[in-house]
Amino acid sequence: MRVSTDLQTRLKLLVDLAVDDHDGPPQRLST
Amino acid sequence: MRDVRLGASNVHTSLLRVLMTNACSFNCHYCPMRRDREMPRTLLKPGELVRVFLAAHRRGWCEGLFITTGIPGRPANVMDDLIQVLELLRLKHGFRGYIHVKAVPGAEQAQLERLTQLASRVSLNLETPCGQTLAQIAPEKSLDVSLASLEHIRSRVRREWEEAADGKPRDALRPNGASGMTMQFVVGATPDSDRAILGRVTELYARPGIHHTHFSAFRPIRDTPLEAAPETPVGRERRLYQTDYLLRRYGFAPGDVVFDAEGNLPLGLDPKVAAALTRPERFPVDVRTASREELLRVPGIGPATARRIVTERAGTVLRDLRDLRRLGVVTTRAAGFLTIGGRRCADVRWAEQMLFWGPDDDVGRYHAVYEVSPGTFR
Repeated sequence: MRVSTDLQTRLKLLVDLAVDDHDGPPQRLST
Repeated sequence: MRDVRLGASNVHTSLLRVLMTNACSFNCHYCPMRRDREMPRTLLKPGELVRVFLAAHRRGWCEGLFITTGIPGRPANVMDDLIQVLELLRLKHGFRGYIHVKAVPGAEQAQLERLTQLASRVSLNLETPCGQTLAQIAPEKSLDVSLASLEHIRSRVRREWEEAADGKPRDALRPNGASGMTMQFVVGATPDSDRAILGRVTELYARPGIHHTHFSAFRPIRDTPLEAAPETPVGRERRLYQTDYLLRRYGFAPGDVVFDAEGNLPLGLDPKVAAALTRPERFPVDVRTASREELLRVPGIGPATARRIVTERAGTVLRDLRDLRRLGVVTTRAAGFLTIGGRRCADVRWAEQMLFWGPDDDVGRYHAVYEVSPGTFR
């Protein structure tokens, strides 16, 4: 993918901030 | 990128998770992006975000998109940007895949309508179960406003579900939030108890449209008013998720949930085991005769296993723990609560022994401060 350095920098910041360990509810927590 | 599971169907998809902008006019005390915190701020224009996502999607790096955002200036402005992203993806590029988008507090009704029409899932951050405690940590937010937005989105999702049940074909370009809403609470940043949080959750589950709830354990972020506040044990988040499952999928009523004297879920005890130990008159149940509902109350038996037991025993005789293990029963947890043809499988005292340990005595000794909180955006 060809993206400018500026866009790469912005994208990295905005992707890093949206980090999460899960998006759906964690699985197999209850049985 | 994250792999996530959609709905109860165990279908997995990988999402590109991204913020539209981390600039924010809101000054929430717990948030790494709060207005008064020094950090580099930036944004993606709708066209840029769409271009990056489609390029990543074409390369097979992700199947769907999760977009959330800070709120610089008027909420309506950033909502327009979010809608533009969805319109470009759905209407210009014909993207038919999964898009989860976070609705912004204070959005206009027409914007919520349009956003929901084009999204697979819309979520809202309620943050706390009570308006008063929300005001303490998020001065610009109002629980009443968020709940009004939730109801507005919910009505659209519900209509979609009703029409689908009547045979209306699904339109992948206008999914109307058909994957169901989600909502999020920050746990431990306010004195709200688990009982208060789950009370709000069950109240909102009473009508259709919500798929599940997220619970984010509070983490103190550097240079925020809550920097010195204690971190919430991740175990508390886990207990809330477990209980949420019991309420959504195991037929538990709010009154079945066991809380401690402070109204919190005991950290040292699985909530299903806690519920079983407080209702000894319900146990043991016999695997050869118990109803699916009774089996579901047994720790170590989930919905799929309960279904398998009921199906299997119609054509065969279940004889021992080996038979149960084969069907998916976690016998180390279940045995004390079961009989097989009238025979006890194990003593329940093993489960009671778990009560000897106090709730996480070591939590809180070390105070860590973070730059970001995984789970801020769920």
